[in-house]
Amino acid sequence: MKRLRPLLREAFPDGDAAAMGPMTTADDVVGWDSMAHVGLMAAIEDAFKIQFEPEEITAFANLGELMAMIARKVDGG
Amino acid sequence: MQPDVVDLFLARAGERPDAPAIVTSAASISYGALERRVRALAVVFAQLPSPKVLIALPQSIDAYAAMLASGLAGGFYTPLNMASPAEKMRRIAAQLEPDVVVGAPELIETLAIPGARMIDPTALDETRRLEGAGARHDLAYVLFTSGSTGEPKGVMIPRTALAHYADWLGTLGIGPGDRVAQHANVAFDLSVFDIYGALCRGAALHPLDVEGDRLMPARFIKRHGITVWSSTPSAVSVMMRARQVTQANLASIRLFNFCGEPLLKEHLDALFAAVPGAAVQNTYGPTEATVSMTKLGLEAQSYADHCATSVALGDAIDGMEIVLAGGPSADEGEIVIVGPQLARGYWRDPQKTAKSFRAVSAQDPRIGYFTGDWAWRRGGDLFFRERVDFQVKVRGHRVELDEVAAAIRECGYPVACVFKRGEALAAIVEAQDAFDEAALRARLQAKLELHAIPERIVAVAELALNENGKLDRGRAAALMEERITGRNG
Repeated sequence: MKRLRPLLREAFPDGDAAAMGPMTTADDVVGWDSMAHVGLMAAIEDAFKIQFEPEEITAFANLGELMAMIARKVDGG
Repeated sequence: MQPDVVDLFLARAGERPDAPAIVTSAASISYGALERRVRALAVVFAQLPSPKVLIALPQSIDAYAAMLASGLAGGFYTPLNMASPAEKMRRIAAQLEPDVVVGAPELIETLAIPGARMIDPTALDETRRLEGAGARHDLAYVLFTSGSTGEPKGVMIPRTALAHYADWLGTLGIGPGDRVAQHANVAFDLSVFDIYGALCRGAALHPLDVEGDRLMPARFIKRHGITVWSSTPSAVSVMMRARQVTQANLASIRLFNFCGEPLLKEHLDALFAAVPGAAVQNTYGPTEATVSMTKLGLEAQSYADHCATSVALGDAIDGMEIVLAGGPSADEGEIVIVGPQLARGYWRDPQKTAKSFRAVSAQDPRIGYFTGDWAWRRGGDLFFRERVDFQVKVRGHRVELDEVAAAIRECGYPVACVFKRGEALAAIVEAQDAFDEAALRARLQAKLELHAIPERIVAVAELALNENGKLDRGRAAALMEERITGRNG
């Protein structure tokens, strides 16, 4: 979450990144629409040096699942 | 008379039955196998005379097969956007009163259509097929668009209009070996470019049927070696946001086609920087004139000459004509379209039909479609100015909302929506960094008359797109109102 938070802050300038946690969903965050989602996923790929598969780009229900997916990909790669 | 799209498809299937016709994320199908599927669906449709076929399927092989099959069976089709709210789908179904509904059984229950024959294509018997050339209805499809009142309007497209458009598609050099992406929803008529552009010419159709691919389309292009791409310009904005407009991603494309909303110079800057050798064309047209009816070819060396607040629309294609009506000169006015691609009018709505399809002028009795789009010619190029209904009066002065939005864009906010709010204007823009409203308003004083400067300008990180990939003005207005009156960003 520590490495993700600055990326969330950048992707959702209107959202309260400090208040986001593993249970946070897209619906909870002001400004999390498809364009912001694309920006976030691209920023995560850059920061963590990973690449998402098309199915993975939308395959999480909350930030906790997103973090687990990032961890899996970082370990796997 | 141009050949019918169904006959063109059957000819291609006869020539190269083993060539790939459709490649989805789940399956792919050859021209020969697709023809068998089309004929098997057609034999079921043809049990009813002139069947009205409602297609309630996502971008799957059977959705495209059902379009062709409805034509072969002497009927026509209406595609549904499966991502739209159930209530909207029910309203369209209620208006159309289809004879046949193709879709998953559970969805058919949701739609609740009395009297319609339900067909689950997964249970189709492929051994029974409609052989021969079949029959033809005079309509090809009825496509429902949002009406200003909220009730969907069904645009009736004759087969001859579609044939005329498909004939123009044939001039684009698409053929066997081409891989044509299918980005637009099948209920949005921009998809007609891809579907018939590919299947009438022996190319492979590649639908973006996974949400992740729609969010990162440049990667999809790279993975499939797409050679022809057609979409609204907003898809390029999405690629730009993902930082994926690169040579590595887009190198396979030889033709980009844009339609559906104003193309901006920013889009072309990004594309030509990545793939300077690609051909890009801008097109314009309402659903009522069968997808598009202008074309402007753009090249890296000269595209800037055709850019004003947006990119020029181009000239009418062969057989079609644009008249600018109701303006101060022959070079400015409402776009009125004349020619064989015009719709037959609106489904069961003679009043709305008569209002929009009427004599061009007292001197010109030809029937034209009055688009509500205002345009002007500058230096030989035709430019979109604004919707006629986006013209407002502010304290007695006539103000073009598009002009205000263009001024805001020039100040470094490429995405902006402007609205009349009370007695003044207000705007909402996309801004990534800290946003200084007062500074922007001060800069606008150099560009606009005082009454045209929005009293309030609020910023959000993103403005939403609607289901057709255009900026959603309704949601932008609601968001703006929320920012101005309530929560403060």
